[in-house]
Amino acid sequence: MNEKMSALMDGELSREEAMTTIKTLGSDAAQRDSWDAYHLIGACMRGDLPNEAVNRASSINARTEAIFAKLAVEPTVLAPSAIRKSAPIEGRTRIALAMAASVATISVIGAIALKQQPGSNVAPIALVQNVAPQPVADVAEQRAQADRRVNDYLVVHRQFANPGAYQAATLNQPRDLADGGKRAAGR
Amino acid sequence: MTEAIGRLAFIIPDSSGYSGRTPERLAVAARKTAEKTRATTVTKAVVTNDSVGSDQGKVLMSDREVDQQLVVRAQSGDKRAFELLVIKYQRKVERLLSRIVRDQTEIEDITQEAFIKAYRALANFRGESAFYTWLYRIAVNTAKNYLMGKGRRAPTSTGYDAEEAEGFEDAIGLRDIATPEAQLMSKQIGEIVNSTIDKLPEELKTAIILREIEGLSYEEIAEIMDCPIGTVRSRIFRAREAVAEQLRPQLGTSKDHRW
Repeated sequence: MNEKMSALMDGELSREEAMTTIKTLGSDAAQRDSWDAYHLIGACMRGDLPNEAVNRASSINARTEAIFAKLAVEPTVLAPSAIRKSAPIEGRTRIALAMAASVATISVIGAIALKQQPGSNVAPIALVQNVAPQPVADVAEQRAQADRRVNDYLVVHRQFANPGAYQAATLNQPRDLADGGKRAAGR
Repeated sequence: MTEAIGRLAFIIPDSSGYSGRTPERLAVAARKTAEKTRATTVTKAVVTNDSVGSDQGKVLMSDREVDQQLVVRAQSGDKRAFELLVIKYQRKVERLLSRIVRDQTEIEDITQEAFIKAYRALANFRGESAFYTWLYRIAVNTAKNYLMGKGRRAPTSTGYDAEEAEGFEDAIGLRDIATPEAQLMSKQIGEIVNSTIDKLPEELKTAIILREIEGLSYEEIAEIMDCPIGTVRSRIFRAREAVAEQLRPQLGTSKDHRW
């Protein structure tokens, strides 16, 4: 565990490992002592020790414990939503993610738009590649007939359930489907 | 490699501690050597062009993010997480405050007050700046208010603003206000750390120095030492643990000690 803590101090743990380590960090007193000692070693090696008197070795713990004692009588902070749940992602990663998200969004919107266009030939191309060759006009006609049948059924069903819903049912339909609906309503 | 170790031998203080080398001089020397070592590292990486360990490509959690995760824990009611931040930053805050306030007792009092203020304000910390920047700002303001309350003025020539606090660790020009007694105490810790590091096996000594003084990443150290990243991680840990073991009696703690 202390080895992971050591790597965590150096910013050398993966996010997953770091999250797991941080969850339990400091729960063990010996580990907290090591956390303290490791930071002291680094500060000492870099010449970052404060002007001690502050560094009177015997009093380091005493000073820390004095702060802990004051903390202990403080009302416990409870503001779990104050900080963003996910840690900030910096620099290139942020840009790359934003670009990837943009591309994905545009792709999805484009695919939906293409599918919704009447006479779109995206799907037929895929079909034509996998089945025996057929005249394109035949395929389109078959599809239109199938759509008309489904639409007739939907319009009658909606009228039966709620006569006022007819308009809504046809508003967003392509013209050929709407015509089929009217024919069905007139029957 | 031999060249790098040769330079490291210059950096490692002798067993007599800081004799002849102030922390400032040591830091300057370390920084110069770091630049040279980084150049060597880049060259070696280009020449060898091989993988140095299985950790490559992993998204690592930065020190700032570690702090933020501890803050999240503290904001969820876990005071122990905040205590870890106290341990981590207490000495740095004291060092910062020693530039504003001369009296040692006052420094300790203001440090305590700053941490308590930070804890009380923790609900307002939203992670938009680094935790230590936020904390240092609180510490500086606490010191200013303290001095104003005493009818004294904070020095203005030291320029201890938030921006400087952000790069505080790199501020090699900082001058500590140390009494001879204080310097002696500081030297004791320095001697323990340096003499223990001197006695470490070469591979542990090199790893910990490249990390703590040169500030190299594990990947860079792995390239220099021609070993896997996992080995670097283990060596640095073992070095820290060996030194910590010697420090614990001085710190009044032991492995069996419970807070």
